[in-house]
Amino acid sequence: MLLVTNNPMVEEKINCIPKEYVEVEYGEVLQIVKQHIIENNYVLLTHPLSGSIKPNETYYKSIILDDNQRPYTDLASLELIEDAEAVYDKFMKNKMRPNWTEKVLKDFAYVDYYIMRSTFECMQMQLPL
Amino acid sequence: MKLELGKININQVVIGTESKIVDGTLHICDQDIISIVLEDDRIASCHVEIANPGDKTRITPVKDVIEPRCKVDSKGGIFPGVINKMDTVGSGRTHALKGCGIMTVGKIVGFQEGIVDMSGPGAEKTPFSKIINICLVVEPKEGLEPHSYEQAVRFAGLRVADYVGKLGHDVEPDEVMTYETKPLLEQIAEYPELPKVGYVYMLQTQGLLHDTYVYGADAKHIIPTILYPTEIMDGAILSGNCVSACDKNTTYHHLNNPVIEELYAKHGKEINFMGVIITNETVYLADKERSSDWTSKLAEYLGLDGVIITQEGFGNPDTDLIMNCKKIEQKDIKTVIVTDEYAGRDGASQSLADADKLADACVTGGNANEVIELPAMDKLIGQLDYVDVIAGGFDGSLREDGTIEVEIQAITGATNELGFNHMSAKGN
Amino acid sequence: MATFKVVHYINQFYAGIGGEEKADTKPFKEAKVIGPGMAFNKALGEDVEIVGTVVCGDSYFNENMETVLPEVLEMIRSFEPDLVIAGPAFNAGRYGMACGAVTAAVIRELDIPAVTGMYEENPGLDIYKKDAYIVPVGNSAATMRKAVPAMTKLITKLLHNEPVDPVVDGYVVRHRKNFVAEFRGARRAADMLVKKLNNEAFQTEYPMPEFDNVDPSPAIKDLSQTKIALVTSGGIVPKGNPDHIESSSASKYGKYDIDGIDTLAGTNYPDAKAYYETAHGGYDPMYANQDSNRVLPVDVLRDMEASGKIGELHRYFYSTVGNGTSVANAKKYAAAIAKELIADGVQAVILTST
Repeated sequence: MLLVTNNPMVEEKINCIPKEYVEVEYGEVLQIVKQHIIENNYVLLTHPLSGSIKPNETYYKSIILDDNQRPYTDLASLELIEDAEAVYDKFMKNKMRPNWTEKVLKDFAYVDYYIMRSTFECMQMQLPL
Repeated sequence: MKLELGKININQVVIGTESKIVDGTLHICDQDIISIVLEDDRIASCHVEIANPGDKTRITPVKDVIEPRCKVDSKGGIFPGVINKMDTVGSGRTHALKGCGIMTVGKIVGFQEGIVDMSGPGAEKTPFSKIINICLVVEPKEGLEPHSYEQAVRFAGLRVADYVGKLGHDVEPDEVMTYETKPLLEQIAEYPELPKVGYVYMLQTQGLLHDTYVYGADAKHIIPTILYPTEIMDGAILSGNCVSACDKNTTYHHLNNPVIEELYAKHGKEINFMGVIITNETVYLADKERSSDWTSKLAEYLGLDGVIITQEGFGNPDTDLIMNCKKIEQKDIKTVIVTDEYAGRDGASQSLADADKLADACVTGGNANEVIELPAMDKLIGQLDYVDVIAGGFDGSLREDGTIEVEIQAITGATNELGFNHMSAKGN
Repeated sequence: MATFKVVHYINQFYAGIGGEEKADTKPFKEAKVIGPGMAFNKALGEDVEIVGTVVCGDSYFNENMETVLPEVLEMIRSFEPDLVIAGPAFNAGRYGMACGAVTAAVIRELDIPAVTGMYEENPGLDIYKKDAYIVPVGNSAATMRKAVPAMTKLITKLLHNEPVDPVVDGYVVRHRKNFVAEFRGARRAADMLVKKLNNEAFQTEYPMPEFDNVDPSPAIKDLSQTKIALVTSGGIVPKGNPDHIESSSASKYGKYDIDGIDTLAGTNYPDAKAYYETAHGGYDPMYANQDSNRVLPVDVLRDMEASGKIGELHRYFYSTVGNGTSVANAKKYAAAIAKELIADGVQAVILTST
């Protein structure tokens, strides 16, 4: 498995899974994940729009992928990530993210981290893929 | 399961030294309420304010709204497994205080949303401008983590609603409605000629600030299951959802679920309403597959001919909605989905994050990106400085004269996905 | 005197100036009815008069959009109209772009209604539908007699300031707008479900976007036994573009023999047997012109053919330009190409886009 994240709190606190920590913006996290799906045939394990906080509000995004080698691109994953990109573009075009205060950024980081943590609990209760 | 729901109309709420209901007036002792809230030592302070319909009052950020209810002559209590002991609810008699709500107010995280205006153009968008709100403005102890604070506020609202609801225990209701759903085989036999209809009730369960509880259980860990519709009227389902103000289902919405009411209205006439399948909206994709497999399996198992599917929230839940719809339609069970739209301010963008041609019957609660100008109010309950940073607010959207320009997604309940409101959207 | 004044925008062809050879006609106005305006003038009745016509060549408009649009608007404004009609453009791509741009700009800048007509696959439709009132019409001028009354109905309502609706008045949905319905959503959902259960007609509140998805074919088991063809919408053609494939809204595709060609050489190759380039006008052609393998990888497939990884590279590649080309034409080309490929025993195709 591989956790792609731009959330420093996830980078710091979640250590039970290999991570790719990227200091980029939300939309670029989606792009990196899409590249993994296309070039490395990785498969999405979590929904790219996790959380109902809009992509033009939160800055942070964490996505878990299955990095087992597969012979071809998983089309369902590709469709999900492309839909997520379309939603991201739509929201950013509609209205740019405000300049958040440190405190608000930390709260966004916390919510993203907590969603990942509870998702991880859900995953661990089940057989590894 | 048969429930008598006694409705006590509350026309006025007065703060005083005693708590009682006399001739439609609810008297509450704010000190009693404050001490109930402060039973939780995670909460530093609380004050109580009343907001009446028509007041020039703005309330923000609103976390949850709860209609006070109580069980009458019954061994169980309202909100089972959370406030009262675990017991199956949904039968016997329940009293509800209509026309009022307990509203929890306060910032749990810095970006929390939720505006309720009691008058003006914003009031037309939220159902909560039509009821008297007993607002609990809550402050946490310093350093409290958001998840812990959310839980403390959630429990405080429920405790107060339970306390206020019990004031109606001995009051003669203005109206009594009776709802009944029989055990499966009996229910099928009662109206064998009518199409069997169910309700697939999707609950927001993505994680922190996005949770829902069923008999106290965190719904992200459930597999879809079946409830009698009346269980929900007794508080079997509770909101722990603080985000997506316009399309979150507050506890008030759950207690007064409009789909359940409308299906009961047609029950025995046009349809045979068989029950509710609850399911979740998860982040882990394998959970989504399992949950939608199960909703379709249960719909088939119950022998349903048609279902209404409702959603909560934006984005990720669109995927669950479409998966549920597709898999149920593929079993030749007819579906109607209820959702809302994010079509951009100009209404010209793609409305949903996911779509499928099998979703050919769709009801919408409207475009949440529509912009609205909210005039200044005389009174503020809560904290306005966060309006600038709530969903749909602009940088500097709070003007000096107190006017706010926001997208209606910032207004609590504006584009509800249970079909609570009259608002819809159409091609123009 | 008529109550309402209307201005009509048309291209050089409908103004009777000429076809493609006159497409560079600069904009001009005349205070009279020209071409299809006659039919509109008659259909709209005595209350409405077309007081002026603005004409511009399609190429000139599309190539000078930024400067020509304000000019056209100014000409329209000079007639002080209550409404503007553009086209109809039918399936003419550049005319559709011009009609869409003019109607959208009139609504936005002059704050009066503007109506045009386009065939459903006209590329101008998707781009301008969010602002312009676009009435779906047939795909050629032969359907003018049907288009005029369809547009007239909407024009009349807009002139009288009556509320319009895409379903009732037959125009393309511009955008979504909130409104307050008679019943709450749950009631509407329950009513809709009952109708659906009884097999009665019902109307969804949100029609799902239409997807033209194609299920992927099953995976090829043994590539070393497979004959593969290359097809592209990236506009790769032999240098000089012998078939004159248009840089946009292509009206044809080309079929090119690559027997004995190991690479699609461009300007990066000093001594090649044959040179290639792109005819596509929708992207920077530099990289494709340096080395056309970048769009259509003949070089890699020749290597794979030599090493036995694939069975054979088909002797011909097919190419067209995907820039603004209508879906209907693209489907037509694909059907023709597929028929030939099957006849030639091709088992798999690599499609490259840009």
